[in-house]
Amino acid sequence: MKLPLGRTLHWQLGQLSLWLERSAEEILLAFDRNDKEEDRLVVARLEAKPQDLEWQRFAVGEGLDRITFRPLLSERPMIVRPESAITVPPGMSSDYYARVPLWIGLEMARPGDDPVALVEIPTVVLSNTWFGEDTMSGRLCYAMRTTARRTLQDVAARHHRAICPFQVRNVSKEPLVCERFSMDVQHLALHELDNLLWTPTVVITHRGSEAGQEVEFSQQTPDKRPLGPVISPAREPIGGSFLRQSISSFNLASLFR
Amino acid sequence: MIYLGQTVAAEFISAETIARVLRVVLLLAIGLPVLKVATNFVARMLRHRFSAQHIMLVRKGVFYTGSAILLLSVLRELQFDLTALLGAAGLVGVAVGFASQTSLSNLISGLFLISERPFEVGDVIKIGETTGVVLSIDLLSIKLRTFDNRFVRMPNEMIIKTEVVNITRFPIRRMELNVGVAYKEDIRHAVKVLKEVANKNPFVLDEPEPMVAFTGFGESELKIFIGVWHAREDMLKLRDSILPEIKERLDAEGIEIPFPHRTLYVGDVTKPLPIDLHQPEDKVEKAE
Repeated sequence: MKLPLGRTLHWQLGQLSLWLERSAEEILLAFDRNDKEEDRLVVARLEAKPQDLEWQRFAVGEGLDRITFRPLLSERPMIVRPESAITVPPGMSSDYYARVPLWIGLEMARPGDDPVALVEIPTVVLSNTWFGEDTMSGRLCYAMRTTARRTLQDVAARHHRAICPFQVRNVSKEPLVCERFSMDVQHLALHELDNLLWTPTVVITHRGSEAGQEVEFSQQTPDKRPLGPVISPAREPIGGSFLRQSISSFNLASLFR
Repeated sequence: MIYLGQTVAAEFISAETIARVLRVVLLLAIGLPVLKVATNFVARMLRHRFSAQHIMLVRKGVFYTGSAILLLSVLRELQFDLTALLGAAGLVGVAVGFASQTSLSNLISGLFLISERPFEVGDVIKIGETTGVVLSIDLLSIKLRTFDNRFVRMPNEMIIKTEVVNITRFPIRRMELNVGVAYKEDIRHAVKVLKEVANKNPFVLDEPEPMVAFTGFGESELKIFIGVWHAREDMLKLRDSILPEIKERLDAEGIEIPFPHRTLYVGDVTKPLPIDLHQPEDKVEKAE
């Protein structure tokens, strides 16, 4: 949409509120968060400029006044827990749905030109977490506050979250205890389906404690519906399957007690 | 005179000498650029497989070896007797060896450091009282930049003998805090409140989960230990946020952080100390 000169517009996506103002040479941006407002949506409402916020300035010059809000997934993996630890017996598989928080990428463009990325803002502030066998090797991730659910009906639709379905297949000969799942969302694109944002289904195949876990992405939902058009491409696209430990069955803190 | 000068010049600068000098110039003109290209090529080949200090060492090795070969070739071209030169170099080597025991010790320590790799260029390390970022690891010494921007040179021999703490070796670290609450407080409630503060801070890692534990009875307070994990780059952000959060939350909950205090006991089981309040004399006069 086009930003009016000298007027302040307000958007709210869940907890995130942001204000934009176009001056002759600059774009001014301020944002704030309210933990209590989980599901509020405000789009481009004209408001008086809030004075008590810290304003960021972008020197974009004249002409660059069309703003696009691009939904993005995190640049780091997201860790999601089931409601409680769950065991997948040998030869079985189970489906889960997680609501992944989105980042909002602000892009400006002249008509006919490629957009210029200004800034990325997470809609919610997530805690950091560690996913690895010990405190020396592993990867830094974000911890999701919501839990993974077994059915889609249990996952409430939200404008500022994407539905990330995943399937755990245990093809090993031992039971697989799942305490935490690591979702490599940086490899996932965002698709539109039924007016909601979806990621491809993450299929994690457990081949045994020695053989590791294989991850691949399916362009269908677990109930076999094809995904809609791509809204945002993956940050780090990856083709085919890859090996990555994605399920953890123990608590690292127990190592330090 | 002119005739004599031309004769002398002709005797010393013969055609052969000119050809030899030209060969030396050619040797240097080709050899030096080739050496530079070779060192850069080797560095580029190793870029993805080895650390910065290993590449630097290999570069130096290639450069010095190439330079030595080039020098020997030039000397040979100028018809120096290399056998005598090498013999003399051996004698000089022994003399220099005796004179530079410390340097040799540093050199050998440097080789051990490079093979052991306790730290790399860019790591933050603590040696004795000095903490800083490693700028370079050389054969004789390492160079550090401290956080107040001082340049520190540490001899390798000293590093081999001293305890070295590599602060940024692992991607996550634990910050340890000790909080005291008054004896009148409910320990379990205080531990629960502090755990909530730790869990709410976004820089605190969710896993390994924060550890909050009552650790003992202090002189004036009940001691509570807080161990929170964080990404190594978030250390300052965490310290700057969690300490005020602890104070604000304890204040909000009405949990007292006690000042150190001492109870004087003068015997006779429970009799208190008698206290008389006196006004200073000058103030009494003024009041009158």
